[in-house]
Amino acid sequence: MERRGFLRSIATGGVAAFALSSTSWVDNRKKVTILHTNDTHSHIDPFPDNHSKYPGQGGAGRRKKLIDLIREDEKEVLLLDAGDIFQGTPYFNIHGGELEFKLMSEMGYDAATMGNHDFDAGMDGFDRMLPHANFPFLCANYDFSDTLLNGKTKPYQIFKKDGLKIGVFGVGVELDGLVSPEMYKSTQYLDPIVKAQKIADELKNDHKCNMVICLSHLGYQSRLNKMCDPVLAAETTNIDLIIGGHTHTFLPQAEMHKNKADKAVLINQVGWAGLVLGRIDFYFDKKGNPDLYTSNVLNTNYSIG
Amino acid sequence: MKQFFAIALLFILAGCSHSTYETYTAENVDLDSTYNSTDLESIIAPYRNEVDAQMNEVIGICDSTLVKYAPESPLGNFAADVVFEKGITLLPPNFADMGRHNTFSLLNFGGLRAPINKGDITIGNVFELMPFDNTITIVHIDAAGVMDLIEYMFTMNGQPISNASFDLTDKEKKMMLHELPVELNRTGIYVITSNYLASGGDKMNFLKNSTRKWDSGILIRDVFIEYIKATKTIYNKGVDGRIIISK
Repeated sequence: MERRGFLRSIATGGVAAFALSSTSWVDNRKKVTILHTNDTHSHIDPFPDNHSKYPGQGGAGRRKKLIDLIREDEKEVLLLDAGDIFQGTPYFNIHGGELEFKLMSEMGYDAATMGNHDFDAGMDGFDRMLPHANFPFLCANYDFSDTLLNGKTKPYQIFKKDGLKIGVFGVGVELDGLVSPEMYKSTQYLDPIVKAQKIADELKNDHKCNMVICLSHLGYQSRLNKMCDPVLAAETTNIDLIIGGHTHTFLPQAEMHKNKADKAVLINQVGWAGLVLGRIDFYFDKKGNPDLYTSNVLNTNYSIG
Repeated sequence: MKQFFAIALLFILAGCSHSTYETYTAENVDLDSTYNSTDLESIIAPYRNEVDAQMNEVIGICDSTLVKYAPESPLGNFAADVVFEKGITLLPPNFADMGRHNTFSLLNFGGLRAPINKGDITIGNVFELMPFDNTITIVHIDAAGVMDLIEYMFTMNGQPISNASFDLTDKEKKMMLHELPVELNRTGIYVITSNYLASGGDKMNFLKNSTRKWDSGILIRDVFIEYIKATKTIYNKGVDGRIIISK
């Protein structure tokens, strides 16, 4: 609770700095809060108190509590997941992912993408669980046409938040060599960079999205192949934020990378097992006036340990 | 994880009719006891009760925590040893010449998902170690496959094995099978592994490319459970030098 008050005061401090150039900025801005998880891996309960690494940490109940607290303060929230919802505790082995989807629905997730472990119960296992999820699965680079998931996922979705359009799409990791072929059947893996660029362009240019978010299960570091989030960021344009997963990377906070056009892309990933909730608050100028902050803002960098 | 920062950004929007964001704050928040809540309990409880009923049975005890690391670790050795001892008793059809002299077991570190902690071992703990429904699968690899295997072990900095040893340097790469050097001109060797790795998981192409495979259908998790129930106490035997890699 203390930290939330702290956050607010910092945000106000930031505003004070901007106010040097424009006193009306506070009133004119819009704010969208992005909350996210990845690789929750069927971790419903906190880790046991005798766990060697994360004693007593995590738990779906706490995740919901924090999300609810944030929703009390913030009007425009998007709650997203970057895949590997399944596999990791007996909840999955016994109940097949039903509880995972039910709890995410209860928490109000807006969208998720599929990780490699979401294929662990096979295409039919995932399909059977879908009725328990009241949010869409966004998969842009898996072609499910020849499988029973045909038409049950979509490449992207646009969310309207306070008049702003936020485009969200998903990309997944190459399945060959990672998932048994009998699990993913005739799913075709398509080049994530090519698909990401095509959809990001469509979202920004055709749909006039104010912001484009990529849910990625490619991983933060490359492992068996060269594809990973920093590469995706560097090789594309029109993506503002990559919410990552797969490599269970605990980033201390969202990282700034440069895209192909030397513009900013944020990458974030919050470890695994629902130990951490990622949060990024984006502020938008209501009028879209680009000249407001030419002098002060670029060097404004608050860093609190 | 507890850091908080804010950065203000400038976006040049020349020519754009739609605005984009100009500043952001970011914070990754630890989900600890600060956020304790019972909100979801009514949904979770029936699922948990069923899980607990099946998972809380104590099947053995561990004298000292077994963890995994490369190239060779107590947990990796334990898992590979147990899988080898089960696999070698299976009699795959058409694998008549399979025996201890020409067979070893090979798993992957990535597939061992939790340590075996000191103290009571429950069925739930074994599910955490091996949540995947992977089955024991036996694959025959020829001399070329063995060469690929040796290179793979060097590149990947080891994987859990049993009944074999590897001594690998840039200059010389040696594999021993049942304490005898592997002769590459012989008829090949048998690998006791999982169906996941047999189909090329973790890029084990030397297994994927083989045309002689047999899937036992026996869950590796069940093999662990059966072994722990039978031996009662799991001793941490440390490592024994079965994999030595110097790069």
